[in-house]
Amino acid sequence: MSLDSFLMIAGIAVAAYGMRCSGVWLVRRMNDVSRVLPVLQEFPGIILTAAVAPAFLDAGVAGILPLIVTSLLAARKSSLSFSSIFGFLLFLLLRSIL
Amino acid sequence: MASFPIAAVSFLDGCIFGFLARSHELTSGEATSMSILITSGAAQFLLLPYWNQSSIGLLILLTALISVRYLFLGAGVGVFFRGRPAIQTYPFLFFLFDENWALTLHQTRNNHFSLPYFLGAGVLLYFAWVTGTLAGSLFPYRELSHHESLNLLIHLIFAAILAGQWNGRRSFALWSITAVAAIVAKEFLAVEWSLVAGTVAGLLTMLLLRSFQDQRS
Repeated sequence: MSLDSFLMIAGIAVAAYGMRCSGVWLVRRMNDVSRVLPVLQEFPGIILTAAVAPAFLDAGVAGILPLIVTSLLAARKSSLSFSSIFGFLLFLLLRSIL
Repeated sequence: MASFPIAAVSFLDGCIFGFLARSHELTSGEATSMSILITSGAAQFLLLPYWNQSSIGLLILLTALISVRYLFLGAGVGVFFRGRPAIQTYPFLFFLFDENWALTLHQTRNNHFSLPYFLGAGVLLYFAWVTGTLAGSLFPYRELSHHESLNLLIHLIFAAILAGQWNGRRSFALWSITAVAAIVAKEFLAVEWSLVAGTVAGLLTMLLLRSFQDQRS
């Protein structure tokens, strides 16, 4: 591993750890976080949507159907691994026949 | 005991990450170092497609944004750390994960908060994730012709995480606008800018919806 890679990973690690501490830091300093938290709650959904949307459009039907299946399985509390691997196998199957 | 099944899943998730990291030309050392230091599955999976083509600033920004949920996790357990000095609080938060957060909140329904319980579950999950990553990254990997397919696996993992964020019509509105903006931006700009454009569009929409909501109430 190069020094550049290590420094990059370390920088990202600091950001991740900083976010881990941020909630506790806020609670220790703010009496009422109820107005702030609902706004922040929607960030991850927005970012993940921006990340996945172009990829599934590019993949076409073979990608969109597994997307729906994976989402439904995950929404029904299936594990991350199971729902995503199931969807991936479905994608490979559809890609081979479409 | 409650942590063991969750740790087994964490190990499997780590294996998947380790294997996918190799497909994105990270070495086993880099993948394992990521898990040792960053130890955030969502962030690590998110960064993979952008690892070799984005600036460190963008990667840090993406990490911070996808890690916003730790604000909620921290706020949830923060009440238990009130009154403790900082040195007895912040070091332990390195082992704050979704799973031990949920276990801790469940445990405190009928019992007092137990730092050993919180920490024990967190350390177990951490080691499961790290060893899983190492195992996955050492899996015999050959140059696969299915590299694009493996990218889709990453996005399916994102979709599985996203499903847990669903909040009805509001999510539909936000995510639709975000998706359209990201797709349009990818057509005209580089792929990493599609992520930024989609996120900005989603955030602006969120703020707009909030202001409408505040005006009506």
